[in-house]
Amino acid sequence: MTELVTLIVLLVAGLVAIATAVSLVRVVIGAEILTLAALYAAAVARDINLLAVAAAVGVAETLIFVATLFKLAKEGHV
Amino acid sequence: MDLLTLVGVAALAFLILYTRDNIYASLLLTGLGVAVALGSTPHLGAAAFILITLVYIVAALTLVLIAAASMGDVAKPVEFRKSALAAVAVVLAAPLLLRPGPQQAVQQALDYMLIPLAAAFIVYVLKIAVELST
Repeated sequence: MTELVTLIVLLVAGLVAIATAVSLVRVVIGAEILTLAALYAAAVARDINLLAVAAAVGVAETLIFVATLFKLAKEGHV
Repeated sequence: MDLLTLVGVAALAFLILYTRDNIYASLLLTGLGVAVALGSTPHLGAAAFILITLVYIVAALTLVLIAAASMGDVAKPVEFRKSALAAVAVVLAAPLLLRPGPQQAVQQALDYMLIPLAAAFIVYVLKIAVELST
């Protein structure tokens, strides 16, 4: 039960970070917290394959976000 | 241990939301990642700790770089995005549907097909990232 509450806290924290963001970096931080919730859910489900897939997707998502932020910062939107 | 994780995660998430500086918030994200990794260690062992910590230290340090590169943004007033708040409502209603099931046995056998698939996925994403940023 405590794991479920922790998962809900992580999901809500990520969404609220996106909802109250004033800059794009905060939006990315919120999305990273949501990915962290996915990693925690995979760990609580006790499946190492799920955890590996979630970690790979987390790395990929970070790459895409950083590339997008870099492009937007070059154009002066961040 | 679970309760400690819950308290730590809640405190760090509140700190991230409370901090108005992007660099400090990115550094606190590393702390949140390590806290979640500690919380998942009793479930999956040291492998989970190493994986989650690696992913989160890398992610948060890259974010620190980006935040430091884009300093000097104007202090705009906080505006709530309606779609994210609606998603918060959906998430808060989720415990009505999600019942905690019986504790699963630990699945420790790694499916080795995942490694080339994940590697191909990462290479593809790298290609997209390079095309995006140039």
